[in-house]
Amino acid sequence: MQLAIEQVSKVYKGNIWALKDFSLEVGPGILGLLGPNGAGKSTLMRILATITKATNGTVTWNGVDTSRSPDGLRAVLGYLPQDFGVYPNLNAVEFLEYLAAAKGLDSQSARRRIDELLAVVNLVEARKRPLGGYSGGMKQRVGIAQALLNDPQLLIVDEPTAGLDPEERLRFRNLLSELAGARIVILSTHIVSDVEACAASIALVSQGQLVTHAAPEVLLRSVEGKVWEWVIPSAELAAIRQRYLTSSAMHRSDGVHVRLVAESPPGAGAIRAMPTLEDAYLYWISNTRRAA
Amino acid sequence: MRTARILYHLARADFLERVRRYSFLITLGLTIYFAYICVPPNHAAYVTLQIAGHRGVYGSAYIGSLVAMQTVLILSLLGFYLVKNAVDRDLQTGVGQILAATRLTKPLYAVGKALSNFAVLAVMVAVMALAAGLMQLARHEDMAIHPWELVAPFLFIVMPVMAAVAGVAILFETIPWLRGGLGNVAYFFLWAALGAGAEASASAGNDPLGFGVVIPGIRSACGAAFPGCATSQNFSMGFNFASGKVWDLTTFRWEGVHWTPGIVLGRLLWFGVGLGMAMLAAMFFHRFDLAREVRKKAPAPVSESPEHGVSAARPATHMTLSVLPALPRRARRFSFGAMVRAELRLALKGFSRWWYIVAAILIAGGAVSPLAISRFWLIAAWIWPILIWSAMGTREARQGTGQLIFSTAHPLARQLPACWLAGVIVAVLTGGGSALRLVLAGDGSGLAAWAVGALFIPTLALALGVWSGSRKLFEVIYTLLWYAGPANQVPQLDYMGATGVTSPLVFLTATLLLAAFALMGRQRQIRI
Repeated sequence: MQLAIEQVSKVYKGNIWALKDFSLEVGPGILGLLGPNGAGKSTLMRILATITKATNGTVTWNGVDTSRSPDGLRAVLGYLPQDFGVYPNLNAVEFLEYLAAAKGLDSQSARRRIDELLAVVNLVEARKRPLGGYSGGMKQRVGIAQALLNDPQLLIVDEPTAGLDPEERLRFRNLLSELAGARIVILSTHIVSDVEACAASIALVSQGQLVTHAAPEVLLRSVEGKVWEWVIPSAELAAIRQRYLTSSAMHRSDGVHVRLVAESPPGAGAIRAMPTLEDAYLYWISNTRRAA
Repeated sequence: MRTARILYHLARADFLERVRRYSFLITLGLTIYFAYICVPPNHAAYVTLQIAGHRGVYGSAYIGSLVAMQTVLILSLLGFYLVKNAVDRDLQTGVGQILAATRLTKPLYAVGKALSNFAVLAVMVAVMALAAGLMQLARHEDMAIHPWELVAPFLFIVMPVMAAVAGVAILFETIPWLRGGLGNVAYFFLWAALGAGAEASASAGNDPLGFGVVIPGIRSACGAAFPGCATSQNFSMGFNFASGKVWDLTTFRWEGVHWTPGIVLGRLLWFGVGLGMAMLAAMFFHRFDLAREVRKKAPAPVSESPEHGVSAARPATHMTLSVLPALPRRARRFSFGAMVRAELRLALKGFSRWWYIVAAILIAGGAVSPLAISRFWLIAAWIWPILIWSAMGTREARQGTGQLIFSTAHPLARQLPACWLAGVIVAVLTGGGSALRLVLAGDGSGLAAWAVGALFIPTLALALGVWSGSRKLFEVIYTLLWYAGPANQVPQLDYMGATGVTSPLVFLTATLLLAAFALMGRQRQIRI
């Protein structure tokens, strides 16, 4: 089971490059696709989900070009788009039955699967209510359920935790971890903690290009010795923010506790800190921006 | 001053958002083409205005009035559908919620949107006026351009009507039951009644479409040039095709309308009607507080709190793993029947019990009436499900489910045909009573025409829906077709065989072409 992205580019009208020469090989497990808004993540997701055609390059699923033969991938694909709608007059069961039919599941298996999925996404009690009355988070959970209907080998989820409350977010992360075993899961997000919790590898994307693809521990090692905690007077905060890559600043009685990324100690009293993925993310993305 | 500024910016932003779309350029192109066909040369196969075999010389006054009257007739209908989306756009884009959080009042909003509607229509009218001048030169019967005579009919005949249409469009958008397809159909009948009334009362007076200001003068000029001709009986306006020959009209000179202050004031009154409609709309406007309507129409919001009967989320820490067993391989077995059932359920959901009762009456009426009467039941039965058909091919774009559907296997070979078949089933069921009558009477040709009609309607709906992404196009075109063809017995447009003149093969061919068109459109949607 392998998904290969080779030299993929996407150009929109007005010569706007959403993706540029993007290459990546993905095997079973969870790949976290992390990048700022507008980095090209959703475009990549849509290309992988066979919704959009790449301008250049190829995507192959088990060696088959998905642009030429999309249905081989579609049969084993689960896709949760960033923005999707529902049919407001149908209830959750009817909507999932509709999509199960479109995905080619037989009626009996579909009914059983829908019951299981509604339990997993915690919508059993609301299953018979029209979707038009669902909250944003509940609709998102219906979206998660539909993506899992056909027990996909490739699961692509684009900003899946948007609109979910903290508890549901945690449930979803656990679910993803559980599902990841023998399938490929691609989780696209700009929320570092979502990726931190479950991704086996992380691809950082910025300005339509792959910045780096590595295991979380490798990314963390890349900023080891470069993360600092420093207490400064609040009057200096603006200047520090201008000079250094600041990941957080908290006002305390003794001054402002600043966390920043720098190659050398920023000043007297700065203490080296344990890096987090958020520090690594900021470091890599800002380096790319500076280089551009 | 502040009010004027708000109105200006409200209308300006909405206007720019509309005219910067590629589709508006196409609309303007069609407008110019319409001006071209409004002024046919002599010995053409059709005329747009004739009085007992005569017409006016194509001078500025005559061409201005002729094109203005055709414009008012067409734009009062199509213009309504074109602009009836100002409030909806704010709702869909979310801009409405931002506006609702400001001090903007409901009347200001409604009038601002009506102004934007009017501005869009006014641009089209201005293009028509310009094109009318060019057509005068192109037909070169009278090369002297008199700008006032050319433009005045557009200013005093067309513009006031556009103002009224702009206001009515806002009114329809704010009244919940007129907002959707029902409103589109209702407006058509309102327009048809007004148009028929205008032609009947075109002798004199300040009728809504303004024909009474122009036509009596043209008739008098014709009568003076050709004494004794029956100007009041043999008169036609609109696109009239000569049957198997060309029109050979003799011409007379007409100097145009003498725009007295009384006539001008009378026409300007219709601006007031437009403003009144916008103010009335403000009374019904929800101000983007949809909860006001939710109570009556949309499904009630589902709460997740236990007191509303929905269990609270289970604590994440208690989540049991391995809750989702693997799907057996044999479960992956596509069933076209299941897909059609799902599409049919989707199509029929959301209609009230009354809809089904009326449908049942129409089916029963067609089955028990004598054959001659049964045809009329069929005509009614095949306009009734218009809102079901108009949703075909549009749901994926309107409801945002396109990415979910198009990422499934073989969407072109599975979901699209299933959707089409569901539409055909609706046509077969609603027209079933009349079909039964045809079978019992042994009317084979009638049954063939019926079968083609049952295939033609959903195919037309699917093709237009897929390409436009909107229900409106089918609702407008189908209502026009239904009104002219089966209802008013124009044989060339009778797709259900109500007149028994046109061969069903014509519409069968059209059905096949439309099906190919729908497939092409969906193919394009699937792979951007």
